Amino acid sequence: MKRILGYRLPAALLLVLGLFMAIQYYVPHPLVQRPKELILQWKQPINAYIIFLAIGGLVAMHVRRVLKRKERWGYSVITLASAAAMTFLGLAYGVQDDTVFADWFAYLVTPIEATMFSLLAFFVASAAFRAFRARTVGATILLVSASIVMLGMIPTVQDAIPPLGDAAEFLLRYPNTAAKRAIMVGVALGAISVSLKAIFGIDKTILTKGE
Amino acid sequence: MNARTLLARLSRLDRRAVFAAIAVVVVLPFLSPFELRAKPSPETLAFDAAVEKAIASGKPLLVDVDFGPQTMAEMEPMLLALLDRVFAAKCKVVFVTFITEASSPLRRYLEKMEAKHGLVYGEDYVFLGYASAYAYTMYGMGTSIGAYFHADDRGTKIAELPLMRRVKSLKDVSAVVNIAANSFPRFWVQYGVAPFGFDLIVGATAVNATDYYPYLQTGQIKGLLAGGRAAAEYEGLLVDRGILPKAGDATRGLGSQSLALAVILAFIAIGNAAYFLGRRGGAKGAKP
Repeated sequence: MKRILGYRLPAALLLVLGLFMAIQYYVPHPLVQRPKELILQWKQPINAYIIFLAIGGLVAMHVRRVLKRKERWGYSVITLASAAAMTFLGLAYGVQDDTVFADWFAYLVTPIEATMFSLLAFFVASAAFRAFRARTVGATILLVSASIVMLGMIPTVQDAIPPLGDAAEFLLRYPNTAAKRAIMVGVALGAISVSLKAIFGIDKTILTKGE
Repeated sequence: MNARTLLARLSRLDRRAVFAAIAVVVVLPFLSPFELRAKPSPETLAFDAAVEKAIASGKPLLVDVDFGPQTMAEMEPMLLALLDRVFAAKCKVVFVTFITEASSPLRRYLEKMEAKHGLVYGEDYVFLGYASAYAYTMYGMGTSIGAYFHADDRGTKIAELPLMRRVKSLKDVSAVVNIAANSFPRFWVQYGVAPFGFDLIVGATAVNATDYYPYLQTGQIKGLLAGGRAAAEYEGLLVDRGILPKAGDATRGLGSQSLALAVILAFIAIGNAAYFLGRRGGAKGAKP
């Protein structure tokens, strides 16, 4: 029984639903489309459950860190306190514009996140200065093309030397697109392979065996 | 002091000096009245043309806003320019977001737009709020929006909103505009454009924009605003047509962006010159 519920039933569901969702894409008949709609609608409550599970995991992890006084456990206290405060404010007063929750979001979360991201500009400049070297042929090609694209993005340079702007656009439009397309095709083939292995039970690691 | 010694010294420059140089060039343009104008790229012109085509169709537009505070500097001017354009043209808009962080800023933008353009909520625009399971929801909205959004962001039932009586599914919108700092435009292509065939118009960060060039080439994305510079280009187009009275934050940011790029390039050049001179002289250049 444990094996049926723990492995065979989920594997059977995966096979049936996986094949169904792949086939429905090509069959517009209502007999196929109606169950598809139902399955799509189930995904939202399932997602809500996943978020709940994730929050539970996050809280459990940080509580453990605090109780065991692990390294930098003070940050875990801040995480737990912040999560609790935002949850309380959201539930008690709502999340609309004129609420404390919205104010905390606008005046705490927004500047913190914007500051974190804006630091990137400084680190990119420092890293480029220290590590972006034409050591090999590949690195030289990367360096030259990056320099052309960066220069071509500066309006005054683009106006003064129009071929540089054209070269930057060419690099974005052709070599970049070709490389991106190659990566996309590779990723898609990989995804098909992984999905087929999961659907047909070849890759069993994604399901518990009930043992 | 000869050139080699100078370069060697420069290559050992403390990183705090690099940070200070970037800080100065980012701040300076905001203090100066000098304004840069960028020539619109073909991608920006395509974005503008696709938006104009959508407005001309007379059907409502669906705008999906997927960026948070991290990328606000790059994405906010893009969104505001678009909103000014569509609301100035009295185009009806349905908003949605698939990331929780976007809801709060989007409410503030819409509040400003409501006052600026005299909009009526529910008739001129609707904000459906946040939806999870983005790929599934995008796919499902192709056949029914009401099945995934029972109420809007304010808790009003969808059936009670006059605009939503006209917009039952993605077949009822002129186009979908996705202003996103993540990979969601790719999901709109896969789960929206491919099965349902509507026009998709994208605004993305400069970093993400390179991912969308293949879709632009195949026509699955009709127009693309690639980062802050493209936002400035779009603002310039709207100013030229008299839709915006003056250029906005993207144009102001263009000076900072351009100077920062120039400084980064200068640092790269110094580092490489010192590296090669050091190699020739047998000494070490800047440490990686």
